Amino acid sequence: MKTLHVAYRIFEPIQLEVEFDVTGVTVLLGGNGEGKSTILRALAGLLDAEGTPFSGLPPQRRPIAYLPQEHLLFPHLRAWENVAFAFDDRVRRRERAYELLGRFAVEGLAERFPHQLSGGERQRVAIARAFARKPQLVLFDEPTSALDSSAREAFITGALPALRDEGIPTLAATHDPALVEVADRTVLLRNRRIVIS
Amino acid sequence: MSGSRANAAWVLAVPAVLFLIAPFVALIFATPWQHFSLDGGDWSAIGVSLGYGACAMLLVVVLGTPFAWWLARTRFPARWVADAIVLLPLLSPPLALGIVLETLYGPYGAAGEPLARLGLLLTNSAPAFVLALTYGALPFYVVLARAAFEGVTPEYEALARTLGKSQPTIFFTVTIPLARVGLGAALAIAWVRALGEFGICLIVAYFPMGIPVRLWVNLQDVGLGAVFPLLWVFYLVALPLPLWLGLRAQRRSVA
Repeated sequence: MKTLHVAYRIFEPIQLEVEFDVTGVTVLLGGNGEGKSTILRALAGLLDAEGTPFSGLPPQRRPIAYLPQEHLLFPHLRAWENVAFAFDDRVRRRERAYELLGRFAVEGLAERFPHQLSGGERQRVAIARAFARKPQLVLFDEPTSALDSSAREAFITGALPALRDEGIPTLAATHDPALVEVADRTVLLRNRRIVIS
Repeated sequence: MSGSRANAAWVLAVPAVLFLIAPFVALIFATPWQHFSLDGGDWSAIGVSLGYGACAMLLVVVLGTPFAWWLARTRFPARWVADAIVLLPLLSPPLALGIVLETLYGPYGAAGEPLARLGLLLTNSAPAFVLALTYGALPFYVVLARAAFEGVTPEYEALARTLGKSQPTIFFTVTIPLARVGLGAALAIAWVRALGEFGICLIVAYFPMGIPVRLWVNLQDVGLGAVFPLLWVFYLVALPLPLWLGLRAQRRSVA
């Protein structure tokens, strides 16, 4: 199982220094305001920070998949157009987008707009889009907080194991203790320090 | 508010509604529909307003859109200066704007004199007309376009960056489409403002004669009855664009 070592110093909006490993599915636990989302945004290149991996690269050149809690999909694009948005070229865009949606069992929703999808369906389309970039690290911010119970169950028993099978290190910042049960590693953030990794 | 109270509350709106609609009702009854006609000068004014108005809208969009986006997305201590630069022409009487434009671009103005030597005459000319309409409409467009951009959550733009897109690509494929309803409204208001521009035109571009100045001339030369046909045409050409943009934006946001 591939491990990615993370060591980051974050300057804005809060000062934070963290070091931990991401192995398989790694869950980042911590209370409100501890800086979980900040760490994810720093790894995505959206904040002023330095460290490894990817430091110095602008967000558009980082091989990461960033899936925020809200605003997962662009509301003016259909599901397949959301996926195709992430392609670097314009060759067979629709066909390739349908293939990616098929990997997450949502190709039947390809022509729908985000407001016509449930929370769980939106999340699966967003994961399919993230894979269009061939990421080396997947970042989830509170992946289960906006889901109903069945979609949450589907994410924990379906999407997360699928990500593990793809062999891509996945870091999920969450309050949800149920994710800990399926995680390969847990990182606990308390008083803005890593206390367990 | 309970249902019955809400139903009864329309009574409160009646005075304002009557006040607003009454002049238009009077116009309908006063118009000599059997003798409805336009002369050659009226048609020329319509052509001037529509043609040069379209040119002005192009300039308003090209100049105003990046400025509005910058105002919406940038934070710096002296931003009030940029806000004041937009508000100053917005809050000035059009006649005053005409005078300040004439001061700069007139035949003896700091910019007007050298430009005239280069062949670009900015008084009583087609470029002067476009300048007048652009200057009058630009602040309205910027204020509304800025609000439209502020309505687009920056999270979408951040997400697009993580999906490998550059800032210019994000602007055209994410920001503009998400702000389209507000940008459409901004363009519509700018269009109406430009088409109705009278005060600035009176000073810097009396000729070529657009619809408002032509209405004024007809009013002075012939009287109130002579302006009704051109006034109706003004409403016909001024309102379809805002209505079309508004309805189109609504349809697309529902789709």
